[in-house]
Amino acid sequence: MLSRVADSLYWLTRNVERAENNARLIAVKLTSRLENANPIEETNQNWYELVEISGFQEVFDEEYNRSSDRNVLEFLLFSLKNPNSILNTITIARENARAVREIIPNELWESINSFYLKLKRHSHTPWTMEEVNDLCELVKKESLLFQGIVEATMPRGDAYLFMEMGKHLERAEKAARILDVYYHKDLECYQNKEIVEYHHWWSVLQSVSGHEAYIKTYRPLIKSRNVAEFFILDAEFPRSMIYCIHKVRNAFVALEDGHVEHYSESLAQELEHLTNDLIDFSIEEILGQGAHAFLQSFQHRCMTIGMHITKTYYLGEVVIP
Amino acid sequence: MFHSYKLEGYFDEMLEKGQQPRGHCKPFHEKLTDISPEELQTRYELAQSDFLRQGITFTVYSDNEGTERTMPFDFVPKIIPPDEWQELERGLIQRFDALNAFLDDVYHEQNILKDGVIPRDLIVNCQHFFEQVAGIDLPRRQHIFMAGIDLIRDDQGEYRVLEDNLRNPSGLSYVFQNRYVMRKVYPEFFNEYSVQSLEQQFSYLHSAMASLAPSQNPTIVLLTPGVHNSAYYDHSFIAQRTGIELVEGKDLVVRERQVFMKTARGLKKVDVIYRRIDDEFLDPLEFREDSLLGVPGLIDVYRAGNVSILNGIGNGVADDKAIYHFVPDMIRYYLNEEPLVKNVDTYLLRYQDQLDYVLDHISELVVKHTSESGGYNMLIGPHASKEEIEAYKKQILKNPSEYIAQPTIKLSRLPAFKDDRFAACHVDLRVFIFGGEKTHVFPGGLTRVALKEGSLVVNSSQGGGAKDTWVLEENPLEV
Repeated sequence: MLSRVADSLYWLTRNVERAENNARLIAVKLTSRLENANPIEETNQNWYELVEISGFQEVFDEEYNRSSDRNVLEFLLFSLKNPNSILNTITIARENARAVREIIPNELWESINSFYLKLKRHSHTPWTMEEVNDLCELVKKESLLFQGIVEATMPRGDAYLFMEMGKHLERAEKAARILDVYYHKDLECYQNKEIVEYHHWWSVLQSVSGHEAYIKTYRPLIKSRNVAEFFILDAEFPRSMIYCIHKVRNAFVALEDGHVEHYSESLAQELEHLTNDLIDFSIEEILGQGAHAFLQSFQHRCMTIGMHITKTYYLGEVVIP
Repeated sequence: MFHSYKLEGYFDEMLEKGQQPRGHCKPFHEKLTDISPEELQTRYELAQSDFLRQGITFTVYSDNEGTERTMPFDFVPKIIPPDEWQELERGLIQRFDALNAFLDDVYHEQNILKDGVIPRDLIVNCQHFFEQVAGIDLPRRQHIFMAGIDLIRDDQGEYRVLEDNLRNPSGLSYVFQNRYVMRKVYPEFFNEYSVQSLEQQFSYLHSAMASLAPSQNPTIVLLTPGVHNSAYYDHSFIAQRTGIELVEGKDLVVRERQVFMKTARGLKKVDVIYRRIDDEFLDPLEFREDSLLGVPGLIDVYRAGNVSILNGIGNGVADDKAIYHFVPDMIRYYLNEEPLVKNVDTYLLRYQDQLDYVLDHISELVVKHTSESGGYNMLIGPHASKEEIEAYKKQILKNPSEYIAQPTIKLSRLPAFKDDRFAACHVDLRVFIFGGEKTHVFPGGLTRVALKEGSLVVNSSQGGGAKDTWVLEENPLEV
């Protein structure tokens, strides 16, 4: 397979995954605002969290002078200035798909193309706050449809494996970032701390559609320690960090037929070390070294893995935000 | 629906005098009159949205931001009876073979010039004649892999060649898409017809490419300028359906007189390049230095016989608008046969007597610049104002040898659906022909239609649309 093709496939799924994660975060924020027992305390600061998760605070601050809900949503949904806005990520995904449309199933191309056309239409029409939820729903559904087509129609060859690597690396990194931002938040200042804390962690779980799976393991006791354990170490939940890293590693092993050659050695090592760390550490040990430090280092290691993938397979010049 | 339909002295491919459908069109015409205009409108929209969803669009650069548009599709097909097609097929194979022989000759012995059949200066001054590739022996001496020959029918219904495209003719994918959409949106139209299938054509295409390779079991790639090229859909479609790799210039590299593609697992040797990049951009070491689309060193590998480039380099010397005039002579010269499909009469303005004639009769003629295509930089005499004619005359006189003129042809017409009725619109037909072990004509082709009523310009960039093209089976299966 051409390196350029591998590159496009890898970024195709990464970008679709990125769009879906953004949509999930926005949707959760919307409902948590409606549900919150004390709406006055949901300040603009809370919307700004989403900008932090996107990683483009500077761009946002330059564009807008205030983090009102509308500004944040505009920035995350349609802003052309935000490289990670949903419209931008899907535009990139579509361009990548177009560049490999002879490689991917036609149904997959059609789905990403209509996805793009729908978003484009929305971006041209004035939107109301009420429509945002529907829009997030649309993005989630389109992403799930996209993944479904991949699963149901693509042979498990190189093309599929590069897509797997992109998707799961993105998902792992995003999970860490979400957890990090929410973990970082100081809840002490709230008067009704318990209720706020409950809602807080419930939202975090919802943002990865993990609230139902969580309850099955931990009962409806929402504690930060348990949420962290679930997010980082749950081997069965498909959006946990350990699960996603396993998936990246499996794809790599399949791609290399289980061998490690000279050119793939550094990538193999990175993946193995990260997997081992996740297996070896308990949640107490992780929280002991500080959640923030751990999650930062995890994100950093994901980036390193991304760079090794690029180098190992001669993918194009890529910048990981 | 046909109440305001007028024949107006043109050859109508569906209706005869008295508005009666021609024999082979009768069942279709009956179906057409059975369906309500509302139903037709719904289906029309369905077909257009299908093209959009599939991203079968071309980009129009009218402003700074290119906009994606679908090619309008009209569902009334061009239906070709088997005998008519066979005759055409023979004529096109003859023309194709003569053009190929001509290309091999001008890049080798140049006998046709020595014998004075074609003026030498016309060739050596042609901007598409490349000395760089003279004397190179191509596999099977085949310079043309794919030709797109544009045909029209005159007021008597006789087919004539309007233009030969021997460089990078595009549009093959539209032929398939038109058929897919037609089958999907208007399935019942096929009921009483046995139409030649397009499906096995890709095997022909692939074996034609393989037969032109320098070695056995070749690795074949299609070289595209990239996603932003207006014909990108065509490129990716052909690559996908023939199972070859779609590459860009930056994916290829030359090492030790071999071409390689850069894969995720290192370099892989390439044997055949079906390129959809113009000659001038293929290799910055030999042609345009500023080309970023090509592959440095490619021509050297070609010269060494280590890679096949399809279509051959320098083919433009045979599809020039001035050379066109001499194609019937080529057929006589190389094949010793009379041309089966005629040219449109052409005046070469390089000759004083023909220039004088054209200047006197310009309001009846179509004048074209020899190196322009796509319906640009031409004058349609009968439709032009006095001022336009005067301006164009001045332009001609600056360099008459760059112009040709043809009588205004009364292009044949077919019904096209317009809101709630049918309008008679002019059509032409691009037929695709492949060289390889044996010259093969693709059944049917791309019927283009000038959807602006009265317009003669069928190019998609200027408001043209497309129709499905049916070649009927000789012995239809009894259903």
